[in-house]
Amino acid sequence: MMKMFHLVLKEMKIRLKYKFVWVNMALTPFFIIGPYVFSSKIADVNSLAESVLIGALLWYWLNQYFFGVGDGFTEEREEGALISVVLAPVSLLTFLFSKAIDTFLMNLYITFFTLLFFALCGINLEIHPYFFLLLVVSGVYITFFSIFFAALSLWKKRIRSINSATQFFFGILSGMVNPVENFPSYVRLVSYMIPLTYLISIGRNMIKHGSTSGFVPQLLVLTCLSFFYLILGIWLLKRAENEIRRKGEWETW
Amino acid sequence: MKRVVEVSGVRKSFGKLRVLDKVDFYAERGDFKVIAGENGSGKSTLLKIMIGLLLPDEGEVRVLGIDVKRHWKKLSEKIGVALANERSLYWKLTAWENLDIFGGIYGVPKKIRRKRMEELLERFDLLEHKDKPVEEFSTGMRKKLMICKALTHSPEVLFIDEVLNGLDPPSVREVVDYLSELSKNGLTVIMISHILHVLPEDSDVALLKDGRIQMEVKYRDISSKKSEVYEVFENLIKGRDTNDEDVPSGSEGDEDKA
Repeated sequence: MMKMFHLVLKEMKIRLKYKFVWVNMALTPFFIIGPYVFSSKIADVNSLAESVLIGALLWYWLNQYFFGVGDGFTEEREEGALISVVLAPVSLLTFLFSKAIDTFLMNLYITFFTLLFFALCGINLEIHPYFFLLLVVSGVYITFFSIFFAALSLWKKRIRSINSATQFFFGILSGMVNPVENFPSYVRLVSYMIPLTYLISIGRNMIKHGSTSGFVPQLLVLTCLSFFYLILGIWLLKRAENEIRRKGEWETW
Repeated sequence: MKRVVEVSGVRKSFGKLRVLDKVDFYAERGDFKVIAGENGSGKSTLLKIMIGLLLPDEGEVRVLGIDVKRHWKKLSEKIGVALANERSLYWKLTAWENLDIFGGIYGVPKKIRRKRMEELLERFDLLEHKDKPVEEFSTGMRKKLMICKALTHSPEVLFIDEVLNGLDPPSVREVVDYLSELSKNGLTVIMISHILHVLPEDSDVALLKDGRIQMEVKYRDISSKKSEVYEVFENLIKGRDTNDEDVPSGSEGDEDKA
C-alpha cells in the first residue's frame, strides 16, 4: 500500500508543477460536455439536460481513466521513466492502480467545477446522497475497464493510437446522450458490453427518480462485467510483460 | 565465497541476430566487475538479462540466489540499477523529490531514507542542488543522481550501464572511488563501461566479443601497457588474431582505448 501511496504522491507532485493545468482541468470538461447539455436544454425540458449531463459527466470520467490509466504506460514511457517503474519492486498492476487513484482524485476536482459551472448556467443536478457512491463505484469499475485497455495497448502498442476514437465510440454506444434503449438491438448488444452503459443508467435513474430503484440488478451485471475485464486485463498484462521481456521493448513505442 | 551473480549458458538473439552465445558470468560478494566491449557487443543485453528486464532464450540467471527469469520483481528490492538513459528520472521533480519518491517505492522507512538521501547527495556534491528540478541539472549531475537513486535503498548488488559517460574526469574518479569503497564494504558492483582507465586496481574486467566473454582479467593486469594480458586484451578489442606474431606490443594512445 505504501508503495502505491508513493506512486500516487509522485503523480500529484508532478501535476502540482504545472499550475495552469489545474485551470485547464477545471474548465475543459464544461466546454466539452456543454454542447451536448445545452442542445438538450433547447428542448426546454430540464430533466433531459440533467439526464445528458449525468451521462456526459460519467463519460468524461471514462475519458480521464482512459488517458490516466489506459495510457499510463505510454505516458510514463514518453517521459522516459517507465523503465524506473518497471525496475522498482512494484507490479505493473500496482502502478496502474496508482494511476487510477490519481485519476479518481482529479475526477472529483473536475466534477466539482463542472457541476458548479452548469449550476451557474441554470442546470442543476439534484445531488442524491447516493451520487457520491455512484462516483466511487464508477471510479472502481471504470478503472477495471481501463486496466484492460492499458494491458491491451501494452501488448499491442498501436491500439493506443485509437484511444480517443475508442472513448467517443464508448461514449455514444453507452448512451451518453441518447439512452441505449433507443438503439437497434444489434447495437445494444455492444452497448451492454460496456460498463459505462450501466453506470449512466444507474446515474440517470438516481437523478430522475431520486431513488435507487432497479439499482441492484444493474449493479450486479456491472460488477460481473467489470471483474471480467479486470481478470482479462491482468492476464493480458502478464502476457504483455513477458512478451516485452522477451523482445526487450520496454523503451520503444 | 558465495556467488551472488550467476549467469550460465545464456543465449539471446533478436531475430536472426545472435547477441549472446552461451555466456557464463559470475560475481561474488564485494566484487567490482566491469564488462567491456565494442558497441553492439551485447553488454547492455547481458546486464538487462541479469536484472530481469530481458528474458534469455536459453540459460540460467540467478542473482542473490533468486531465479531472475521467474522472480525478477522479488529481486528488484535487493538490487540497484542505473541505466544509461538520463530520462529515467522525473525531470519536473527536484533531486530530493526523486530520491524520496523512489526510496518510498523501494520501501525505505522515511527517517532512514532521508538520512541516506542526504548522505548520498552530499557525497556526490549535489546537496546544495537538492531543491532544483532535474531538468535544470547538467548531464553529469543527472548521472550522479541516477547513482544516488540506485543506492537509496542500500542494495546488495549494483548494476550500472554506461553511467560514467558524460561525467567530467574528476566526477568519474569521484564515482569510481565511491563505488570501490562500497564494494570493499560488501556491495557487489557490475558495471558496463567504455571508460576503463580509472578502475580500481583489484576490479575485474570481462571482455565481451562475438557474443561471448572472451577473457576476464584483473584490471591491474591490463592497466599496464607492458603486460602480456594487456596485449591480448587490446587485440581482442581490435579483432586481431591473438596468435598473430606481428601484433605490436602497444602504440601511442592505447591506454585510452583500453
